[in-house]
Amino acid sequence: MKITRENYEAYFLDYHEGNLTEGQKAELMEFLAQNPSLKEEFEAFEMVVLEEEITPLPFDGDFLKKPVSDTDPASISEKKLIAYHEGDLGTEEKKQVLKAVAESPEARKAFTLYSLSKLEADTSIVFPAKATLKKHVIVARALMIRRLAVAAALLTFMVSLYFLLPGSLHLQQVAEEQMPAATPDPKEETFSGVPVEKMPVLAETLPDIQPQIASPLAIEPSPREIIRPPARMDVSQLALMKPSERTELMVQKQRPQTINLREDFYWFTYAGNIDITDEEEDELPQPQRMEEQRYTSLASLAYSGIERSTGVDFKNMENPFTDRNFGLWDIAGMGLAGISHITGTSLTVDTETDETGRITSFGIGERFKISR
Amino acid sequence: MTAQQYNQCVDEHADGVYRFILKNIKDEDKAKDIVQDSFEKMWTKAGDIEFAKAKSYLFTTAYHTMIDAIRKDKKQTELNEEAFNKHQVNNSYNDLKEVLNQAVSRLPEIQRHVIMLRDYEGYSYQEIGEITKLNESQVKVYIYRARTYLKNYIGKLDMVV
Repeated sequence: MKITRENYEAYFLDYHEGNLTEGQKAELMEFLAQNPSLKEEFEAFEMVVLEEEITPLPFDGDFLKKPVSDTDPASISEKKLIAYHEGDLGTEEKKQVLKAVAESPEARKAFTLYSLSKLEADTSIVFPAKATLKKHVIVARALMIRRLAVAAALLTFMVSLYFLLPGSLHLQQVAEEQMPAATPDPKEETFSGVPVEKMPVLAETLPDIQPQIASPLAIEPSPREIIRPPARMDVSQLALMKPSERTELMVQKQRPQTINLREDFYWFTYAGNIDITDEEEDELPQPQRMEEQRYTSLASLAYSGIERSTGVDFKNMENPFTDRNFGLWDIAGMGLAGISHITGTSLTVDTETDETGRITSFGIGERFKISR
Repeated sequence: MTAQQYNQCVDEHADGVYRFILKNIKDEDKAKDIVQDSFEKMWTKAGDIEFAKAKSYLFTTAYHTMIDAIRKDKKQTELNEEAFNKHQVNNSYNDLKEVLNQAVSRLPEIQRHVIMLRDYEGYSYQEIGEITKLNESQVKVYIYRARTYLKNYIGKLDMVV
């Protein structure tokens, strides 16, 4: 193709891009010699050529490179070294790391530093009050709880007997007879309308009658002890009995002649056709016999204590509610019921029995219950 | 967990928990309180905790109690170095241990916690994650970062290597 003024631009462009042959280049030079007005345009094509621009990275790009091989000592990664010390590597990887460490001083230094970066617990730091953290728990067995419950009930029962039964009344009577009346304090209030000067004073006289308290068997029973309950009392009547006032209880303690409370207690306790006779009181064991007696169980001690204090042999007494002898549970229940009745508390005692009348469950209030 | 097992936990882990807390908050009294609280919490839930998981429960409780304490009084993590340093002096730490302790105290809080659990108690990533409420990958990253920092810190000192 011959170069003309119609197609010369394509030849100019190809010349600058190096696409012309030597013959075509010579032909183009001849064309330019014949048309010098196009020489300026020819040179303008040369200026549009862009040179390569080199833009440096703003950071060192070496860290983007991947190690060619882990077996290359120089390329062992820090991550691998850490993983070795953390125990995160498999057997083969461990071998590679060790090999790299052996062959490369740089890797060896890094490996050593990672080894040294492992923290060790300072065993000299100990908690100074370890004993205060420990817990000591007494594990009570069911049987133990039952025995404790019986013992607690019996204790309350015995305490109530001590204050309510004729023995204590008699003690006060003795105190009245033996000790002179104290000078009344006009400022002192009276109980139930009884003047203070007519009430017995026990506080100052108690030390003198301690021997009698310590040995209740030495005290002769007072005639007032013989309080006979009604011949028969229906169980439903128990619910109608009202608790005594606390202040009245105090007055009754101070004034032995007031025995209504004791009557109530007897009613509640026996609630049946039970007689307490002088003969029974006469059969109280002698002190000498008591000293020689040995108790084989808590129950025998309780029975003996009750018998000594009241003259009542519960052990051989028939329980009118169950048609059998009184058991410890019966006594405990009566003791708690008596306390509840006397103090006016809402303490309730419930029992469940089987077909034979044997107590299978014993409950005090709503929170305490023991079952066989 | 029975009372006997609980008491066994006291014998086996009380020192470790105390050490971990003390190293982090650097206050003996607070560390004792946190240990006491943690064991009390464990005792109240002793019936629900298996003996095998008692240590994890204990460290988790202690860790979160410590975090609460740190948040309440941020100053204590930076001050009161005296009590902390007392142990170092009394026990004749060599140079490396002192340097390492300095480096550990300069770690970010979370990195310090995880690396102590890792090195002092030998917990796995998963166990540390359960204690600190982080996922396993996060724990691993924090440990790696902490390890790198410690390595670089002690590497700058000629006396070590």
